[in-house]
Formats: sequence, structure tokens, C-alpha cells
Amino acid sequence: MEGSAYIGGVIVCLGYLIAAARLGRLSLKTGEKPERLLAITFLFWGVAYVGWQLPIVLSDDALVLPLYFSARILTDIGTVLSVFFLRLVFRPGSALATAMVIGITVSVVVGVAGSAWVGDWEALYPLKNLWWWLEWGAVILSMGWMALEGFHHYGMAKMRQRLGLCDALTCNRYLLWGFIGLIWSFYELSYAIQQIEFEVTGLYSTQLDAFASSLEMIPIVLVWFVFFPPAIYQRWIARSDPQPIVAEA
Amino acid sequence: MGTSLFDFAAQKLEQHTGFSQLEARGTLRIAVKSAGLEPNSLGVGELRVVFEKLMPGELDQRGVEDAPSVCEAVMRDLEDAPIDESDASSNNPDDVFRRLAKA
Repeated sequence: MEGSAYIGGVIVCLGYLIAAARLGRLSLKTGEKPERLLAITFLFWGVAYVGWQLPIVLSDDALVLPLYFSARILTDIGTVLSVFFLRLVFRPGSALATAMVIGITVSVVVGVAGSAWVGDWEALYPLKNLWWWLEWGAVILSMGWMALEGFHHYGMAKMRQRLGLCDALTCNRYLLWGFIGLIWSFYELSYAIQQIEFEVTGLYSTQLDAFASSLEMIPIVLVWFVFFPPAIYQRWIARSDPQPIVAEA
Repeated sequence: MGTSLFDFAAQKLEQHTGFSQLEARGTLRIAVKSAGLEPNSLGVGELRVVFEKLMPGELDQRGVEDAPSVCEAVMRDLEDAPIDESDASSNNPDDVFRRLAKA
């Protein structure tokens, strides 16, 4: 793996772990489920990155299989929790959202179990292992759902903002949330291409690796802007708040 | 809770305009949607804004005379709306995203 990708992995790992700690602290204060779900999601994703990076840092090949498989499981659990978050916050009581959550969960479990059954523990062989696509499809569906909810709610929030029913920062958070989902979707696409390339050639291309690494880094920056926006960013967004409209009669 | 508030407001709109049930619900749904709100998760405050800022225009377009007075009458009725504000859902997306930014 390229050095830049490795450093990127460490930064993303720390980003998720710190976000998890802050959201976890908030959930202890509020007792609410959304922050708890996101905190656990980010915790699992952060710890998963430790699993991805550790064998490289320690240069220990014996650790690769158990740690990569553990990291894969943790990533998948985080993904499933993230769709629980989507359903809880954006589509409570929706039968379609419930079906999506169940479908994604089942696909992930069956995909991982099938991969393990055919011996592809590290999810390296999408061409030989068709179970791989079940897991990958569920993950990209989750990320696509996240993007759609973000952009849809951004559009709705813009309308509310005109009436003074939504503040500019909250409205902006939906937009960023949509971009997080979109970039993660692109990351999943690039990941699939990388894995196919690896299966065919036995190598990862440097350019694709660097591209995927940058796609990994951008969402964590956006996560920070959604949940822990710097004061200067908050002021900038607040300045763009349009004046609410008056009665249209 | 939200649905019953929508139903309540639609019923009052029907009474004050002479609209059919379908017309009243349809008009209210259009106004609520164009405010960026969901009919099944409305709050009284949000509905007031809809009747104050958007509904007069909607009623005007549909030939209702003295639309502002009709809206004021519905807003007065909303004070008696059978809602449980204690459940003003802390899992409403706006509330969640506002709260999460305080982590």
C-alpha cells in the first residue's frame, strides 16, 4: 500500500474515533438513540481502521487475515447501524425503510457468511466470489440511501428556511450529509474497481489507491463540518441565511 | 399525533371555506409540501406559519374570498387542536441534526 494511503487511513481512523467519543458523550447526556447509533457506528468504523492498518504498521503477515476479517465485520456492523440511523431519523414508521434495513442487514450477513464459506475471508476476489457482490451491494445501497436522504432533506429544509422554520446551519448539514453519502458511494465504486484490478493483475494501481484514499478522507472532514462545525464556518453559513418571506396573500 | 393535526387543520379549512374534504386536504397538503414540511410530522407552530404565510395565497388562487380571514379563523381553531406537544419529537430530523452539532 502507498504511504499516502496509509497515512490517510490513520487520519480517518482518528477522525472516526474522536467523532464517536464526542457523539457518545452527547448520547450519555441526552439519552437519545440517534446520537448513540452514530457514536457506535463511528466507533466500529474507527476500530475497523485499526484492523486495516495494524498489519501494515507491524509488517506481520500472520495478522492480516484475522485482523482484516475482523475489520470487515466491524465495518459491516457500522454500516448496518448507519441504516438504522437513517430509518430512525428520516423515515420513522416507513414500511419501505424497514424493508431496506432488513434487506441490507440480511445481504451483509449472507454476503460475509458466503464469502467465508468459499474461503474469501478478506473480500479480495469479486470475480471468483459472487457472495462478495451481495455484501458490496448492501453497502453501496446504504451509502446511496444516505446521499438521497441528505439531498432530499436539504431541498425541503431550504423551503423551510425561507419561512423561518429552519436555520441555515441545519439546512447546510443536510447538504453535507448528502455529500458524505455520495462520496462514500464513489469510494465503494472505486473499491470494487480496485478489487477487480487486484484479482486480475495481483496488484493495486498507485493512482487508484491514492484516489480511493482521498475519497476516504473527504467524508471524515465533512462529518466534522456536520457535527463539530468550526465557529468561522458557522458564521459563514449563518451570513448566507436569506430573510424569511412575508405572507404571500 | 402529526397526522391527527393535519386532519384537524384540514377539517377546519373545510368548514371555513366550504371546500369538499378532498379539496381541503389537497390544498393543505400542497401548502404544507411547499413549506418543506411533511404532513405526518407537523407541529402546531409550523402549521401556523403555513396558514400565515402560504395558505392565503393558495386560497386566493382557488377563488376563496377574504382568504386572510379564513386563515386567521383556522389559526384560532388550531389553539384547540388535539395534540400532545410533549411528544414534539426529539427525533425530528431538524432537531436531531441541530442537537448532534452540539456534541
